Amino acid sequence: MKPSLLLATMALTVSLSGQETVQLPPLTITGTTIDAKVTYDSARGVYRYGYTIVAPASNKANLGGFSIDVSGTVERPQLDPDLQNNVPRPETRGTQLQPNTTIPVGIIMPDPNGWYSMLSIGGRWGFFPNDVQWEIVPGNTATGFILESKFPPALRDVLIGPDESAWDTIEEQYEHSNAIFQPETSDQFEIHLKVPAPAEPSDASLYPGGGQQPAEVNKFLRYASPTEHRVKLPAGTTSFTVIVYYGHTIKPASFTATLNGAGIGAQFQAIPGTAQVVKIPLASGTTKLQLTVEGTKSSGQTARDSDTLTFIVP
Amino acid sequence: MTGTTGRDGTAPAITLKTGIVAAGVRIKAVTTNLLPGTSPAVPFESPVAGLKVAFRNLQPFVPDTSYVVTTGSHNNTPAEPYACGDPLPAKDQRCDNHRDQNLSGSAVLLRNASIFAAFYYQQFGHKLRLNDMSLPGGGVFEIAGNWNAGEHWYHRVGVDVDVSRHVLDANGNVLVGALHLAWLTKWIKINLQGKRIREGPIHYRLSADEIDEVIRQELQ
Repeated sequence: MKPSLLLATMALTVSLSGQETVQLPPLTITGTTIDAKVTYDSARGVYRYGYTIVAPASNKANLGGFSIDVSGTVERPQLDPDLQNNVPRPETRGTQLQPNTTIPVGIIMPDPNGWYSMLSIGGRWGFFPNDVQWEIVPGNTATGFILESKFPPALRDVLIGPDESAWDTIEEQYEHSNAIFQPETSDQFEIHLKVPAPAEPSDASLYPGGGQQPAEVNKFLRYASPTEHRVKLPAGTTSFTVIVYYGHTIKPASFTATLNGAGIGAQFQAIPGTAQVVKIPLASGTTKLQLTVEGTKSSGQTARDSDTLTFIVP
Repeated sequence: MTGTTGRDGTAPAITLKTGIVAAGVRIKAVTTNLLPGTSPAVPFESPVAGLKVAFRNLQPFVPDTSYVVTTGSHNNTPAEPYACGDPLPAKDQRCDNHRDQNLSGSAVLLRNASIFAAFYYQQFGHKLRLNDMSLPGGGVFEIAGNWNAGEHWYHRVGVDVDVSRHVLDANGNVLVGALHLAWLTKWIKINLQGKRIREGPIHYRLSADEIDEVIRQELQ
């Protein structure tokens, strides 16, 4: 946005004390979405998380930066030679910011010269454009932001903030005044979303889908999302991200999946001891996802785990 | 401020808000007659006891000049120093009490200021010039000399720092307006979870969320 246009959109008032109050224009980015495609490389035992960011035309500012929670609970070496990077890692220079409990990841940027990326002081993976030419402007999509990790997916917090350059341009013109700016920070324009990212799920945090006994059979199929068998969603919802965890003793050939009775098994890759992200389409009404798999119990016997997940959209 | 003890020995309550005030407070007990009912009266005045009202654990910032330098009001040396309480000095002639004491902060601020300056130097090969932080005891950061704090209202808790728009190259030359402002703001927000406060100068807050909440409540 050109500075002249910005100046035209901001309001200016003068208080009784003579201090100018400058109303800064909104940096709204609420329609922004981030989507993850998660694949698993069996040969390396590595999950690859590829992110696509969509900035709708209704956004009032470019997107300024992103951070995704990859914090964990157990201390580990932060650099894993099995994980690929195409950006310099501060850890190699002894300037690591993140706690040692952060989940180890490899970082691949679509253009390592255009994007800055590292792990933050709070155990989050952050990235932002190095210069304005790489910023994601309203109406545009950017893709190719990749994390590699040996850790499976769960839904984690992502923070997206607006670029503040528009405010910088205005504020610079008041540098030697005692003007008061409103708002004082861009906090109110930041958005939080949930997206699949590397996680350290505990046994208790995974939903077993309900149903089968004994418990070991019920764990052949578990879920990081959803966490209940009946999910009520807002009107207009068109998809749901299912994150399924396959038990270590399942028999992949026995796996079946249906969505409202239609077979969708081809969308799943039931690899024992791994997790998978599958986005299922939804329409108004009730959608039933049924998953079944056979596995070997500790006794050596074979048993079947069958789960039905119900999604309700008004 | 004065207060009178009760007949039963209860003490007066005097509230000092450290967010607004950080200063030395002198306390003295005074009575017109130690022995009521006697004549002549026996007045009494105790020795003065000192009480410091301040934010705890603010430390002076010691820059590693290989990648960061300090600047700001302490560099505006006037021909004649002004004492606080004097009439408003001329432009760039600051309150003597504050001119040399503008770079104290919490441990979090000092650590994070060094971190972002080091990463900036690594990225661009330029040294940041860090400006005002807080006074050694916190409180109103009053640089104009008239105790009518305006532009530096937020420099009270030891979690705020200003950054100059002008940086130094590897040879120590000032590069006017060469700060990569948008990059620095993004870096601080993403990697240190700090924020830019719109106060006129380039101003960042690097603190824990709970400190932000304290500041927010106090300003309401």
